[in-house]
Amino acid sequence: MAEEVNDKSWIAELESALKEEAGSLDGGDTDAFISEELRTEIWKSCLGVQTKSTYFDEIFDLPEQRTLRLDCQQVVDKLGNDEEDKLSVLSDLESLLTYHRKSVNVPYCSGNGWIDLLLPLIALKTPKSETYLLFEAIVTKFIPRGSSFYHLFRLLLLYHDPALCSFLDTKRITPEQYSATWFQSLFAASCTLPVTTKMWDLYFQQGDPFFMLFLGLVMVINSRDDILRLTDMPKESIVNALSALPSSLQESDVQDFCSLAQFYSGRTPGSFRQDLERCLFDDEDCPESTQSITQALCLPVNVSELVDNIFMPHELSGDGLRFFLVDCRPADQYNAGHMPTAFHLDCNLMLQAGDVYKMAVQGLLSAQKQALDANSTAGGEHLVFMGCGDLEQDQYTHMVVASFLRDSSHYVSILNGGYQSLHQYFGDTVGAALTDHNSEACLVCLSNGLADHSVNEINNVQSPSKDIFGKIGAVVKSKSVEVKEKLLEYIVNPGASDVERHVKPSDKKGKRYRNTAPVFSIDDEQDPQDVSWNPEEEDDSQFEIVSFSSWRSRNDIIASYECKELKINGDTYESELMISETHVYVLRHTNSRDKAKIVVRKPLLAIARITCKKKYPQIITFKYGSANGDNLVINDMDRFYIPKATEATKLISRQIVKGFQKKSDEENENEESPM
Amino acid sequence: MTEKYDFLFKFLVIGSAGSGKSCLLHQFIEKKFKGDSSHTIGVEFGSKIATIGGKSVKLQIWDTAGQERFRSVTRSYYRGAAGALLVYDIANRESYNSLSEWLADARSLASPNIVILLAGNKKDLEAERQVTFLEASQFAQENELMYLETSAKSGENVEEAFLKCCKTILGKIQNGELDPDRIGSGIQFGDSKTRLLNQEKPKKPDCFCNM
Repeated sequence: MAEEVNDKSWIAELESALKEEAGSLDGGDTDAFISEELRTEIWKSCLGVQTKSTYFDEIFDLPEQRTLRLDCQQVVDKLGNDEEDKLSVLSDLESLLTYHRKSVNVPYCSGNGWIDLLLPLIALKTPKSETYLLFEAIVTKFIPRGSSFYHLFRLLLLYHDPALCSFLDTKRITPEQYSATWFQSLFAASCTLPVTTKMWDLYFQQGDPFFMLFLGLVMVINSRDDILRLTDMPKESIVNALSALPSSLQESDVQDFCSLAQFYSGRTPGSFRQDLERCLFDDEDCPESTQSITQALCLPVNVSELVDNIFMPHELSGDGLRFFLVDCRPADQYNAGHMPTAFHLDCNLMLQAGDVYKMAVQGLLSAQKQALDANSTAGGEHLVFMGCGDLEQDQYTHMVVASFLRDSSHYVSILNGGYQSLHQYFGDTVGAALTDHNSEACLVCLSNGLADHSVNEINNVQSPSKDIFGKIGAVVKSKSVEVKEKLLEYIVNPGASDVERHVKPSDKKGKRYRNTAPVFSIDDEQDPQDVSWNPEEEDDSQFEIVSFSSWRSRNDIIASYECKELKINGDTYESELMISETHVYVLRHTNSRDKAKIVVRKPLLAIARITCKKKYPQIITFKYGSANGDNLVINDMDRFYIPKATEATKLISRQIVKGFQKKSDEENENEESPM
Repeated sequence: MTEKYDFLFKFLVIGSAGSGKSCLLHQFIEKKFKGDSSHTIGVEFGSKIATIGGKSVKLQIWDTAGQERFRSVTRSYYRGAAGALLVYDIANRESYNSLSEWLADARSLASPNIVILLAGNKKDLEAERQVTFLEASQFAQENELMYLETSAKSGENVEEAFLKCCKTILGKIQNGELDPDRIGSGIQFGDSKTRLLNQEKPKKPDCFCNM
């Protein structure tokens, strides 16, 4: 009894240790590999296998029993075991397979990976029922169903190595032909037993069923030069060469191999996981997702991933994956609302004026390069193309994407659902999230019949957008020759100051804060309440410069927090958030050490709502507004990255509550006194 | 940049993968054979101005990918096409067998009046021929298609194929069978002059003598 308790606590400890380790796989720590004695337990825990006994009825009456027995016999013959061992392995193998065949009710056929999957498990020498449970868990969790998986694999190859993908496509070699044995057997069919076991150690701890795709990807890309040299070979020999790739893997390579796969995984948009997990690894039929992946032109990215990526500051995204959004809709649609960082590429140009289009593409590439060099939020190596979200209207978008793919551009993806789903994603806040959004011209708004008055007001007063992309959009709108020349000028001289203005945070003037994105443009339409809150800002377009040290030592400041301002256009500023009894201030660092700009000075009571991002709790948004009857009118907001977010928000909300109490007390007094 | 033309026709090139669609287009536009061409991704685009019967016509040609995986993308280009080249490979029976599928797609997705020319490509591969001229010409007759055997490699009949199709479209415009002003006709006027000229002509919808 006591021993059993001991046993369980040991496993629990192991489990917690494992969970800690799972995150640090790429850190090159060799502990990710597991010693022989612990392997069974660790695999069981990673795969979530509960010990329970299974009853094997040992009735071998499958229609394909003969094939199955022959295959087992052949495999066992190849193992270098003793005769006695062989017999027991053989009977175990057949009984396990027959049992599985009956429970899943899928016919066995040679080479479907079952035997290959079972052998490493049998090598663990665990009781038969445990072997079966492990096997069952692997099959359900990690073995893909249907052909979508291979289409996805092709899309990933296209994403990372378009030239190689195109080579194979032209040879009419589909991933199924060479990688089916890899994926159906989790590489067990192609790798030696020690390599397989090591790989599985890492794999099960990772727990990501899609990780296999990246292992396969590394396999193919690693030998790309050898593959490309086979250009004159017949199709079959290329397929054979490809499918034999994993067999050259040595035990000592496994660690590097897996970290490489991790590297690729980190540089791939991940939203296909959510969209496809159900249809690849569950038995559910989802014809829509399957259809969308088998017919996809390139890797799809969904809206939430795009938005998170674009609004997320560099520091948080790591160095792996930054998007560069290319808006392919016609100019008038772009001008009626677009993402703040979107580059506009008018796809109609491709048809109407090929030369201009080519220059526009050059403009795109150099804008991308500059944005990357300047480390701007708009910059990213990963191109996301966005269309309208309607197959009919997106013909030209698809053509442009196809031409990028043809030129073997790396990292090309397309936004799932296009502008329509972006619009839908933002819902009521679309006016604040998009630049230049005009609900009277925005096609989605019009089709929704939703001309929201309040959104309108905010946007109508907004001054023309200063960025180059907006300009290109506006310019392209009118088609006169003169304007086209101007466009060329913009595009051909990407070094001109206009482009830099967009990408360089240092180029910002104080005034910019007011006039950039719609959210911040509110100052232009001050309502009377607003004026009374912060009269200082009213007459001064420049921010007030103050001394940090004197502010820090001010008596009325209760607390201050290091923070980063996150502007909707992607700029970030090192700042300090200071909170007094009545106000919240943001002091932005300047080049001089003690000087700071006061960029936000708001009464605490003006804060209508504080929200934080689910995924990144350190990102806090303050929304300012006032109660107008029962409605809350939000008229401004600021977003910050605050390392001590919880502490700061707690303090602020406490102060707000205090403030309201005080206010209502005063009001009560006021009401009472005249009486 | 300012090209002058009387008409603009939207044109499709369709057919099974590997039948030589892109090579036909390349040969037509560049007058060269592209030996090392790879598969088409999605759709490619080319344009050329040709003079037919005194009229200059700008052909806006969409070269679609034949591979099944691009089908949903390529289908979106069918609408509003005035003419199409339906291509198969005379040395590949399968590409011929799937013609009726392509034809059904074109007739249902493009305008029903679309003018289609059947092109039996790779005429140069006489030794490997799997589809006879007679058989294909019968198929063309049954389905009211024009028919030519072409070779993108030698250039034989390539220009003819495109121009023959254009001539038929022009003829249909002149006799009023096709109305360029109708939305989705796949035909645009190059400048206002032609439009006026065209409107001065009396429309004779039932008379084919102009052809």
